[in-house]
Amino acid sequence: MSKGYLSLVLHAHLPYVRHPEYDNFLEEDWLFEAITETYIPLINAFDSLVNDNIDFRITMTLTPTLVSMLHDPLLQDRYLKHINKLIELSYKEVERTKYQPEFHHLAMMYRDLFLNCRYVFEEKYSRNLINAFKKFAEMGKLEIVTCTATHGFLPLLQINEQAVKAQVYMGAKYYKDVFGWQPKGIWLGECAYYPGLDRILADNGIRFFFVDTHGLMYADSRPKYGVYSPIYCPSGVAAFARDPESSQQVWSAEIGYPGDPVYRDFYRDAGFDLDFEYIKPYIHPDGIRKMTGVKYFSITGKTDHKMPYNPHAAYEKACMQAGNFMFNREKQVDHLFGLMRRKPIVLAPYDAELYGHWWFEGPMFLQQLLRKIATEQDTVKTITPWEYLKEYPKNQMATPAGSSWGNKGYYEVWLNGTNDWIYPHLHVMADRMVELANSYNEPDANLYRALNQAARELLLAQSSDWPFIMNSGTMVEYACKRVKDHIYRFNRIYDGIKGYSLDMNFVGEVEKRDNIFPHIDYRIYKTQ
Amino acid sequence: MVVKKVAKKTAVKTVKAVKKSVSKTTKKTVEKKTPAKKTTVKKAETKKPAVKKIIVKKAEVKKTAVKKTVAKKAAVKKPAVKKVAVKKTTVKKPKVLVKVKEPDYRINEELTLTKYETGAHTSPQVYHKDPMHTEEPPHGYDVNRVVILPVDPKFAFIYWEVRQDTIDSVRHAFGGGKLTLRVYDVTNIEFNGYNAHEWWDMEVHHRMGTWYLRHHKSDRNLMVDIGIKSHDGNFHAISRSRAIYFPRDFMVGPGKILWMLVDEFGNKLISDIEDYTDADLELLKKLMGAERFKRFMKGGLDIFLGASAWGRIPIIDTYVELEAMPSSRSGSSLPTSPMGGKK
Repeated sequence: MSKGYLSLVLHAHLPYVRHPEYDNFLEEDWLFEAITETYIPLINAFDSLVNDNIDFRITMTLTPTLVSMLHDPLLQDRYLKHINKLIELSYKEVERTKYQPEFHHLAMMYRDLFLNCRYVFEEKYSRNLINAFKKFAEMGKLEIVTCTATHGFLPLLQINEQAVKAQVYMGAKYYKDVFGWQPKGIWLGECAYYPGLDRILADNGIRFFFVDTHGLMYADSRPKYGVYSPIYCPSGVAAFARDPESSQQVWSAEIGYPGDPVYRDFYRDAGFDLDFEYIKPYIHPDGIRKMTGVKYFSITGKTDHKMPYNPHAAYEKACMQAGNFMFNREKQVDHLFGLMRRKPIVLAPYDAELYGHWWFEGPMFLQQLLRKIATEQDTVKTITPWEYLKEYPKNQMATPAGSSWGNKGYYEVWLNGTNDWIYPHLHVMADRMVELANSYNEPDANLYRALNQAARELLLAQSSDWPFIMNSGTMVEYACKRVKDHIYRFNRIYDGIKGYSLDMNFVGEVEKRDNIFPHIDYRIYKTQ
Repeated sequence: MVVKKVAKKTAVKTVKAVKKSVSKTTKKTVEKKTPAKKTTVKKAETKKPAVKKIIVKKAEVKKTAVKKTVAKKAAVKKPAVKKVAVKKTTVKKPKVLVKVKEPDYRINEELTLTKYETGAHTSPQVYHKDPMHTEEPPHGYDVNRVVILPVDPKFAFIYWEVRQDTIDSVRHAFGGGKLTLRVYDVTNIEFNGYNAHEWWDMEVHHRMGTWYLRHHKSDRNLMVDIGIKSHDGNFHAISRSRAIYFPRDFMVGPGKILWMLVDEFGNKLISDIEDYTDADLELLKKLMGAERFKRFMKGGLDIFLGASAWGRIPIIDTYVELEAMPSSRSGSSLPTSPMGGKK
């Protein structure tokens, strides 16, 4: 019998980026790269575990923005074009490297990998990867939790409570529309919590969410079991907190697994290394070099002289680290169980895109970890938060402290001198949206469309990704443009409605572009 | 036309700091994220000398272009502000917190950022191809409004907008006066305008603006009024913010432990209540590990995080120390109508 549990949580999220107005838009690569390098490898890993009859549990957030993009026919088409291009490149690479044995086998590896991606995407799951995740959820192996509608950073939107409610409501509703059942859990964008938010979650049927370690340690009642058992908020919604120890082993840039010298180097990419004329068809049509995903070198160390990547050595290392991770969890759980006299839950949440996209060997590591846990020991079992709550329905009651999982643990990453200018607009837009929703009960068809579009623009402007990117200093132009676009589109619709001068051509054009949440009803902003 | 300007206007030094750090970050990014290019150069040296030039040139062009944009942006967008905020505020450097560096287990921004990394950047010119026109956001919304937001447990962001005609009419009614922000500590009370634990006044000079504010206690509810402080010392509020809770950054003392039972359908029941004992404290210490426990007991995340490990923007070096402002304790004016009143 096991002495405790490990709950792995992968937070898969990308902001809604879809630009039908361009034939080729660089930022859409965020999705395409994540599909090739993270989502499909994870799906393959789960499939492989299922085929081998390995019992495992894993929890994933699939955010509504990501799910919307994975569902979108235009983006599906574009992904197919993208992967076809990569396949073409990889064939050329196989040819080009035939007298370079240290690279040739890698070129073949990429060719096979891309061909597999096309097969999994197009044939196996009919272009819709949600089918894959849903399949694992129905098998009981994967628990999918939802997220706020557009990953809004709720503590900074709380100025208008209805805006927070709409984010939560839409996140839960969209999940139900897509998967067919009510989500049990939610990932609050950036794990950002403020006391009282749990009541809104409870109103939407949500039963648990996640906070960072200090969210629980600084709760309004000392947590008897630290972060190794959830607490119930007074609303009855459970809060699970991150275990710092297991997080550190993967997240830490200094001592974390992904930085191992034998692993594949993320930054060194054929898109930059190869002759311009040769690589031109596979980079941005404007001639801007970009990453292609074909990477031949290993991290090697703090040097520019990188060694060719050796997949076998990397595989060995991933297996070894999976063993090490499991060993540490065994010791940890054994220790905790002895102290607690009940089974602890060790919560290890990560950005899903860390696995595969940045840490190429991440999905392999996960697969090995889940295999080893299932077959090589009895101390630790994997579990989902909901299963844990069913086993332990009695927990301490406390309200977690306001917190996020960002740098410094609070809200600073999303509110500082680089991005504070967005908040006056976001708050006014939310107030205006509530005003509109309260003003129009029975709109005609055009007005209804316009009101719904205004709601979409507001939600899209609220994505926490934009202030995050502004703070980071890279891709800032795009993030600023996105926020400005949504502010402008929202305000123009608002002014059109209030001034009886609604331009339906404009509304129609914006509907085509920002087509997230096709069944949204603006009345979610109604307060009266 | 004001909000934006104001947002930019406000923290003068912030602008500076941001400018600095943005260019730092940019530099860093360019250096860090183009190892591919560097290596390319090397590779090219050995293999194809002709390629080298092109690539090197390109990298250089890109670097300067980025820097230029940043500099330009900072210079163009945030101009006049400096004078305003700097002159009028008490500017103090934030205290340097003890930096005990522990490997960071929090969200790793650098890794997270790779999610958005394509190795290239859409050039702004690309956006001009878009037939749909977008205008800059309005500078203001012609409203009376003040908002306070939490940045961290002891750091607040305030922004406000007041209509000029409102200012004029209030001034007219009360014989002149200065535009003032009044921050109230309304922790655990039903605030009625008179019963704040404390309040602080800060004179401001523009009808729109933003401010960063350092206070010295966490776990508090703060609220702000913007109004006119008349020459007789009375405060006439124009707009009031919501009360906002600033998170706790310490472990609470021992108290009761309540156990709740929630069934599968969400029905809940408080099943037991017990006292928090020394044994519980000892247990918590063992569960979390002595070192980590000590840091949590000490409180203040900055201390145990070594938070600037990632060299991110040191948030703000222009801000107001709330405690340095005239306060109710130091005999500042009492609140009066329309929302206030003599205490």
